[in-house]
This record gives sequence, structure tokens and C-alpha cells, in this order.
Amino acid sequence: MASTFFGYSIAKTGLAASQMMLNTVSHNIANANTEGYARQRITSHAYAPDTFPSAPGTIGTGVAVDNTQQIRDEFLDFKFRSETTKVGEYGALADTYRTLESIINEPSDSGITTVMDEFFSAMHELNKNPESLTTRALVRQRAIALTETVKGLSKSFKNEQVNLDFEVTVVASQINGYAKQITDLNRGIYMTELNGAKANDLRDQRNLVVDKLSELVDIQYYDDSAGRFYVDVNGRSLVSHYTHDELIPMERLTRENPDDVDRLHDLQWKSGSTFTAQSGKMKALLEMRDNISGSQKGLPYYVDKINEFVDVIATELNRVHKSGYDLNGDNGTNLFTINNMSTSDYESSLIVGGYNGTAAIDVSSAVIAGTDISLTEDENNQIIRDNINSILRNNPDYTGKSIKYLQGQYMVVDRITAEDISISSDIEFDLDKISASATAEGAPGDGDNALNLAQIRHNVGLYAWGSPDDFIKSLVSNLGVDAQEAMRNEANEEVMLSQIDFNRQSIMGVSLDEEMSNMVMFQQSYNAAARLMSTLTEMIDTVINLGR
Amino acid sequence: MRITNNMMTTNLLTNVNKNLERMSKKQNELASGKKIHYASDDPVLAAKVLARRTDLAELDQYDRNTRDALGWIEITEKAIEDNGELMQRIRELTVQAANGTNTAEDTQKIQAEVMSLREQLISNANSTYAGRYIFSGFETDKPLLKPDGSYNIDVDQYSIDNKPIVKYEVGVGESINVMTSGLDIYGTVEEINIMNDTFPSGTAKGTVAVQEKLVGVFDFDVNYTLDNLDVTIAGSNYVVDESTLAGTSGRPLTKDQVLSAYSDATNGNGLLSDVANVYFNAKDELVIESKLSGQMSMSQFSSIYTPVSEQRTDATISMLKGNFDLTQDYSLDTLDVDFDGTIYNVDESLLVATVFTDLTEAEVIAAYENADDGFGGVLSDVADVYYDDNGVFTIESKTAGNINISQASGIFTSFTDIGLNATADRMIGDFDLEVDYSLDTLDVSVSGVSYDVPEAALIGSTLTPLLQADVVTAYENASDGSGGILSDVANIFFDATGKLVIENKSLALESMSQSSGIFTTTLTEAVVKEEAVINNGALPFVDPLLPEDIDILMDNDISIVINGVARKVKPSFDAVITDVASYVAEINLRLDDAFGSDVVDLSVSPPANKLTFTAKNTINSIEPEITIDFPRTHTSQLIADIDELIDNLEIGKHSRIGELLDTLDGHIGNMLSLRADIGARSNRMDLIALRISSNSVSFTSLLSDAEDADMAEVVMELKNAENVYQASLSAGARIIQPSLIDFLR
Repeated sequence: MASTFFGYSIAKTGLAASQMMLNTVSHNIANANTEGYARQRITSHAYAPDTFPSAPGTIGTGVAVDNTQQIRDEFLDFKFRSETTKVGEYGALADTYRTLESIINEPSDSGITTVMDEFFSAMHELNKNPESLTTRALVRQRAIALTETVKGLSKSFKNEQVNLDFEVTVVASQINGYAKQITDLNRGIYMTELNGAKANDLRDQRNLVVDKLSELVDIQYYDDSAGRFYVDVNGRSLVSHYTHDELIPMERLTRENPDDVDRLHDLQWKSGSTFTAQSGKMKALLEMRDNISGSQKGLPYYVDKINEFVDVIATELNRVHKSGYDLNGDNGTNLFTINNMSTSDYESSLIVGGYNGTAAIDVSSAVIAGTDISLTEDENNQIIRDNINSILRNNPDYTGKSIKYLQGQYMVVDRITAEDISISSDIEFDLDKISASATAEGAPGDGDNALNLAQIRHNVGLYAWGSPDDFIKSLVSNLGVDAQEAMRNEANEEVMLSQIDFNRQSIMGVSLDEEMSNMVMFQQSYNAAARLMSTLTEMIDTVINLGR
Repeated sequence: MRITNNMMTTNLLTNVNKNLERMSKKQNELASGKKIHYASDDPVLAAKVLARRTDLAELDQYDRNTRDALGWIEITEKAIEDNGELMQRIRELTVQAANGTNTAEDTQKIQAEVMSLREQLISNANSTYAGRYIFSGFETDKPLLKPDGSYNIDVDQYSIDNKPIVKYEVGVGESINVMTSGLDIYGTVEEINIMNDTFPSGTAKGTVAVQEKLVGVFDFDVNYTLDNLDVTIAGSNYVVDESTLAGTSGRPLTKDQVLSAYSDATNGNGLLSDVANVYFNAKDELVIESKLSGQMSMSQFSSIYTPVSEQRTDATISMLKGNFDLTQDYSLDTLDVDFDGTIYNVDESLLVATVFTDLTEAEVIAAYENADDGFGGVLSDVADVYYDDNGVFTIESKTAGNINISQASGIFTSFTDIGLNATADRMIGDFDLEVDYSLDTLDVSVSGVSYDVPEAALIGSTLTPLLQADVVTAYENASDGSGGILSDVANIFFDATGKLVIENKSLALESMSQSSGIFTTTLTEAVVKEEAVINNGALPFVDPLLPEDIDILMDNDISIVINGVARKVKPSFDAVITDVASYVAEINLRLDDAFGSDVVDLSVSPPANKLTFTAKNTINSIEPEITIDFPRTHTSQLIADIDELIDNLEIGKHSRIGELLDTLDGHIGNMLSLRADIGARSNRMDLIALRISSNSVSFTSLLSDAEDADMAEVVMELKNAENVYQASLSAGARIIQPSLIDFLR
């Protein structure tokens, strides 16, 4: 026979369990909108039953609350994070490409093609009115506009490179911050769980930080058997239980690409080795900042292409312009130089220090190989252009260099870059110096050389991509294809991610309806347990009153 | 699936966002009227749009060019048409005047009218288009004719032969000449001048000649002092002083040293630099270029392979190694060493260990080193005897190669080992088997001993190349003059890559060299343009010059065209000219001013003052061409003829007036043919203008197809997107609002 008050004890466990469950419902509801929160459930089981010698079988002894359990699917977490990494990567790519597209600003009525249209149009006008100073002024202004436009492009690109670099350092410090948070949370979780309890809410927080970290870099994470938590980045340990490594941005001492801005940052682990990213936002940022070639072409590629465009067209325009005669019947000068130098200053500076600051390299014999007086001038020019292209292509030292005709020799020198190009001071200060005439005695009425200049835009042998127009067209559509791909990938990954998140939320999200129905359920069971109490009281009352 | 309230909210937000995005895109299209804003919207279309825009911008320019060209041509046409009518009227008047029945008063009236027509002809000559004189050639800033009817512009043969062409581009690569030369209309009168008849004139072109040159790579790191670099030109041998050409890799020769050695090479009478240019070309090859034109034999003896000295590390040396027991008595033993077939007798009696004293290592080494072969040689001549780092007794051959060393007694194990210091010298280089070396010096020096290679046997040619075996034999038999041959001290062979290798047999790092280090010369024919000369005239004056002759010389331009560049020269106004020589000197100064120095030169030869203009070969790839001409008079043929008519009207010379009719007819015919030409051009311009405008229409429509948004479609799509948006909002409002809370009361 059980004791008289045994019933109380059973009812009490019921009351307590219901109360705890109600509290958990309350906790769930309170955290319904908390980011990263996984709903919790109380698990319970029946107490071990008692046996009584006086009676057969066993008798239940009430309910025991085991644990507060999180409802969460680790596999979905994993999928979510690997998808987040991709979204982070493609998102950063797409963002950068969007910026690049706005910088290039094509197709539009104010992009570089329009400026070129106007420049060559001015050349046509010069051909028709070579003696007119008004027309000459127009040519000069159009030439300046061309230099300013490419200068603007180059500066914007480089500015974007600085921005990307800044973002790289910011993301690095974000990674460091997250790593620090994870170690702090590790400490809390480990301490809490030493006695076998579950630190659910701290785990939620840690999961959230890992979610965020996964957007920045590709991570691998795991618990060991002792409950210690580790995060690796690309095989290197970022967080190891209570300790974490740090990413340190180090200023570069040498440029990775010839036209990079100075003092970009390389990332290094505090513990020594260099950092490499396999995917994630960081990888995209680094790629866009540094890649001059490869599948994911970055800013340096576009800077390089703009520089190639500028150098080739400026060199060719200079060549033709020099072959003409100005208004006074004198030999032509350069149309373009750098930094407002005069033609002679520019050429002598190139010869003395035009190749990485050292003297220009004479490659005349290789350049003129294959030319012959029996061929036409056009044919010879084409041979020379082909030779120049192959020399530049085949010699790795000459990457990003240009071969110019200086004082009778073909020399390897630095390019005229988009950033430095300007019209020559000869022309800036004297409109007469624009050589419109093809012959010395043609001045002032001969505009043949202006026509030669205008025809450069149709010279399909100028670039590997064809004529100057073709070059810009190819550049714009290449950028378009890359941007389109990045944006499409971003959109696709976002759909994937939201699908996975949907599934994840389906498991771990708080449903108010569910909580409400649980609340009603637990309330009822609480009421019932209380009711039992009062019934027991009545029963005892009856017993006590027996003796009266 | 379990759905939570938050999921629905998120879903709703995502979808609403998507709808908004779509609407914003459509709205953007509507507002801008364009389908694409960024290349990424449609890269292919974007490229097309760019191309079309450029096409249109160009068409626009061509359109403007065409209209300008038409304007110019119309003015020209009008002036020539007008001239035609004026001439017609003059002709009528001339016919009238030629009629002998006119009174003096009639003739005077006719003369007055002709004079006013003449004024009109002059004024037509100075027609302008947009401020430019259209008939003045490139001198568009000057009127064609002065009021007196003489030319205001430069007139010479060059400007008559090379009519100014002002091209306007009216299509890609399609240009049209808009200019008509006034000289064609108004004609020129040739000047009669004493100089014209006798001064040199005409056109001359340089002829092609052949010159030979030797080209070769000159190695600056080589000592040429034992070498023979002599050059033969046209059978004459120029001896180069090689003693100055001692290059080493540490202190290479300079180009100047090489050039001066060659330039100073002498054949006893003259220097090489008299007959040849010696220089380094752009490829850094040494070029010896004959100044004499025509094909003649040039040669340089040396034409060899360049051997490179190097250390070889693959040499093997034979060693005998063994543990030599220092406590034994060897006096009864036979320790003699067989070194490559020669027995070296070791004096074993020195190697006696007793119970009290062991042998020392030094004693053993000394005994072996002094082992003699019975002919005065000792073992230490051919081998090193020592204890190695591990204390093992070693007899090591001094020469590389597989040499059999053995000892009868068993204390040694003989084996061949690759020594640590087994480096040896060798020379290696390409040996051209198709070259005649008979005049060459191939001598090899090994360790300071020179071996004379019998080069006379080495006569190779393309047809009968040398055999490798012959070369090897020649080298092997190279004698040092005292009985030794090269094969004693070196192995000579062709390696697998066909290079000749001379390998020192000795292991020590000894100096090896071949005197010929040389550069390979190849004979090439350079095509050089000769000078162009005009010498068909003389100064028609006596020397020293008379004042009136000086005046003529001072006044007269000489018109010279060289390689298409036309210039005029005459003595400067302050030049002091007294005789022919001073005139020639002054003209030469002016020629240098005009063309640059060394381009054209005037010389005079007495007694007939024969003048010679020489255009030099300034640019290698252009055959020089020179044209000399005298300035034309500034008189227009047309105006001159009318002036003659007026003069004859003045004096009433009917017969001459009648004759002038033919002349006038000639001018009228000329006007007509010019008009036909202009008319044809004008028609062509009309056609082009038409084509451009129709192209422009079609390109615009292509561009519009490519980039313009279809408004109806966009509006529909926008409306559609709007509906979807509203639907998603209202659906969301319905779903999100109710939850269990609303029903728990």
C-alpha cells in the first residue's frame, strides 16, 4: 500500500513538468523573431515505477523532465553554410561587376564610344577645313576629351581597386571578430555543458556566428568527442576551442600587376603562413582586386585592357600625325604624350628611362624582320605591327610594354597609360602644330593627313580584337558576359539558399500556432494536475473527518 | 511540411520584392525607352547597339562631308559654267570684230565689253567656298589671280603635274576629290629665260646596285691574338692587327676596339675603312660592307666553331683502395703495382714493422710514391698515394678514364670510383663541316702548349662536307712541334648533339683554348640605291659673273623635288655673289636648309660651268629621285590670250583677231571638258547623299530594334507585374493575419 501522500508527489511532478513546458513555450514565443533561434522542446519520461509487495504489478510514480532540447537539423545547417559561402562569393562578384559596368557606362550617349565618335568626327572636319583654327581648336578639344575620358575610366577602376582593398581588410577584421566571438561562445558552452546540460541558447548564438562567417570564407567546422569546437579555413585552423588565429593585412611592397595602385594588402595569418581563399566573399574580393587574367577577370584586367587600348591607339595616332605636316609646313609632332610633355621631352625621356626607369630596349631588327621595299607601305606596316605583337606576346618581360618608333629605332618602352595620357604640349600651345597636311607644301589647304588619322578607326589590324571600335565593343561585351554570369550565379545561389533556409526554418523556426496549441495543451495538463491535487485534498479531508 | 509564421512572412517578402524588382525594371524601360541599360542585360545586343551607334555617328559625319563636298563642287561648277558663258560671249564678240566691216567705234565697244568680261573671268577665278579659295590648290588662303590677271599662287611644274587633291571621305574607305585646279582652267605660260635653255633640268632616278657585305656574330669574350681575322676584298688582303683583340669573359672587348681594329686593317696601301663600312648592326652583328658596288669576292678566313671551355664533372678516376696493416713486415712480400700495364716496383725492404715499432703512414706513402718503373718514372708521376678520410690507403690515378691499377698481393681491393674532385676541362662547340678552314687558324692550346692543327686538310664545302672522322683525325694529329700530339693530352670526339668536344685528359683545371674563337661571317648582298644625278646643263654666263647675270641668278628660283618633297631655292637676298663658285656655294647652303644636309648637292666643273645636281641615297629603302625645274611665269594662258585679243582690238588687226578664234575655241573646249568632269562628280555626290540617307534610315531602324523597348509590350508587362504584385500583397495579408492567437479567447 502506497503512502497516503504519494498522490501529491505524483501530481507535483505533473505540475512542475507542465510549468516547465509552459515556460519553454513562453521562451519560444519570446524568441520567435530572434535571428538564429532554434525552437526548444522539453523532453520528459515517466519516472521509474514502484512495486508494492502487497499488490501485483507496478505503479507509476509521475513524470520526470529530462532536458530542454533544441530542434535543429545539423545537415541542413551544413548545406546552408556551404550555400552561403557561394552566395557571398557570387554576390561580391556581381556587386563589383555592377560597379564596373557603371564605370564603363556603355551603351550610353556619354561613354567612350561617343567620345571616340566625336574625336574622329573632328578629324573629318579637319580634313575638310585644315586651315581653319576653329576646326583645329575643335580637334584639340576632342583629343583632350578623349584623354580625359580614358583617364577617368582608369581612375575609377583604380579607385574601385582601392575600395576592394579596403573591403578586403574589413572582411578580414570581420573574420577575426567572428573567430573571437566563437572562442568566447565556446568557453561559455563548454563551461555550461560540463555537467551534462545543454547550452542551447549559446549554441544558437554560435551557430549564427558560424552562419555569418560562412558567407565570408569557406569553412569546415566540427566538434570533437570532448565537446570542443573547431573551425578551419581552407585546411588551416581558425578557431581551436578556446584559441583563435587572426588574419593580418600586410602592405605589399611590390605591385602584383604593373598597373596596380600602391600599397594593396596581402592577408597573412598571425601565425605566419599566407592566407588563401577557396571560395566565399573574401575570394571574390581578392580575385576582383588582383586577377589580370584567368577565368574570373578582375579590375587589373580591365585597367590593363584600357591601357592597351590607349597605348595602341595613341601610338598609331602619333605615328600618322608625325608623318604629316603642320600648318607651317613643318614635320608633325606627337598628338599624345604623357603628363603634358612636349614631343621631344617625351621621346628623350623614353629613350633614357622609358623601360621601367631604365633605358629603352632597341628591338628594331626584330621589328622590321620580313619587311621589304618591294611590298607596299600598308603591307610593311602590317608586318611591323604583327612583329611587334609577337615580340610583346612572346617575351614575358615585355608584358604590359609597348614598342614605339623613337628617333629612327623601334624600342621597347612603357605604355602610354590611360592615367598619364595627355595631348602633347606642342599641340596644346600651338594649334598650327596639328598636322593635317600629308605634304610639306600642302599647307594650309591639304587635309589628307587628317583623313589618314580619321581612317585609323577602321584599321582592323591595330588590335588583336580588331579596330579601336571593335576593341571597345569586345571589352564591353566581355564585361557584359562576365557580369551577366556573376549575376545569374548570384540569383541562382540565392534561390538555392532561400530554399535551404526554408527547409531549415521549417524545422527550427517557431510556429506561433504550434506554440499556442502547446500552450493550451500544457495549460490543460497543469489544470488537470492541480485538479488532482484538490481531489487528493478532498480525499484526505474525508479520511481525516472519519475520525471525528 | 511544417510551416511557421516567420517562413510565410519571409516568403511573402521575397516574392513581393521580386515583383517590385520586375516592376522597377519595366518602369525603367518605360521611362528611358531603352531595352538595355547595362551590357550585362544582354551582352550580344549591347555589342550590336555599340556597333550601330558608331555606324550612325559615322554616317552622320559622311552625310556632313557629302553636303560640304556638294557645296564645294556646286560653287566650282557654277564658276566654270559662268566662265564657259563668258568665253562664249567673247567668242561672239571676236567673230564680230574679225569681220572687217566694223567701224573703229564698234571695235572700241567690243574691246570695252571684252575687257569687262575679262574682269569677270578673273573674279570667277577667285571664287570662295566658306572663305576658302577653291581654285588655288592647297593655298586656299590666297586668291588664284591678282587683279592684273597674273597668278597669285606658286606656279611650277610640280604643282602642274601634281594637281592638288582635296579628298573628302564619304564612306568607309571611299573618298572623292572635290578640288579642281585653277591652273587647269586658266593655263600657264612658259617662261622664256636665258637660264631655262641651259640650266640642268629633268628627272633622274637612282639605279639599283649590289654591294656585298660580310655579316657575323663577333664574340667579345674571346682572345683573338693568335687568330687570323684578315679580310679580303676584291682580291686585296687587309691585315687586321689581332694583337689588340684580347678579350676574356671578365674583360670583354668593346665594340669600338673591334671597329677600330677592322677599320685600321691595311693592305699596305690603304685602309679597310677606305673600301668598306665596318659597323655593328641592330642585331649586334659585325658587318663589313663593301663601299664598292658590284659583286666582288669578299672573305674572312675565320669562320669556325666557337668552342666554349667548361668543366666536366662526369670524369671517372680509377683508384686502388685497401687497409694497409702497419704492424706487418712486408720485406718478403711483393707489393709492386701494375698501373695501366706498367709495373712500378715498390721497395718492400723499407716496409718492415717490428714488435717494437709499427710502420708510419708516411713511410708507406713514401715507399709507394717512389716505386719506379725501371725507366726513370715513379708512381707519383701518374698517381696520388694517400690515406683517405677514412684512413684507407688509396692509390688514385691522376688521369681520368678507366685505368687498370692492380697489385698482386691481396691487401687492396681495386675499384674505379668517381672522385670528388674529378673535374676536367673541355671545350665544346659547333663545328661547321661545310666550311673551308684551309686559311684558318684552329690551333688548340692545352696547359700552355700550343698544338698546331693541320688546317690544310680541312677543306669543306656545301657539296663536299668534311667527315667528322677527318676533323677528329686532324685535331688528334695536331702537333706541339716537339713530338707530342693533341691526342696525348686530350680526347677529341663529336658528341651526340654533333658538337666537337676537345676534352683534357688531365684532371687538373688547366687552361685550354683555341685560338680561333671567331665570328662566323656570311656573305650577303646588300641592295643599295645609287645616287640620282642630273648634269645636262651649265650656267650660261661667263665667270666672274656680270652684274646683270647676277641679277638673273638672284631672281630665279630653282624648283627641286627629291623623293616627292618639293622645295624652291634661290640665293638669299643678302648673299654676296661674285662668281660661279660663290653662287654654287650659296645654292648648296640653301639646299641644305631646304632638305637637310647630305641629301642633295650641287657641284660645278669648269671651264663650261657644267652643273651637276646629285641626290644622295639618304634613306635605304627609297631609290632617290630628283626633278629640277624652273619656275613658271605667273601669267595665265587664258588671260594672256584675251589680253592679246584686246591689244589687237585696240589696233584693229583683223587678221590676228580671226586667228585668235581658234585659241578661244580651245579654251571653250577645255571649259566644257572640265564642266563634264565636275558634273560627273556632282552626280556621284548626289547618289552618295541618297545612299547615306537611306543607310541612315535603315541603321536607325536596326538600332531601334536592338535597343528600344517595345512600349506596348512593356506597358502590358508592367500592368501584369502590377497585378501580380497586388495579388501577392493581398494574399499575404490574408495568410499572415490570422493565427491561433486570434481564436484563443
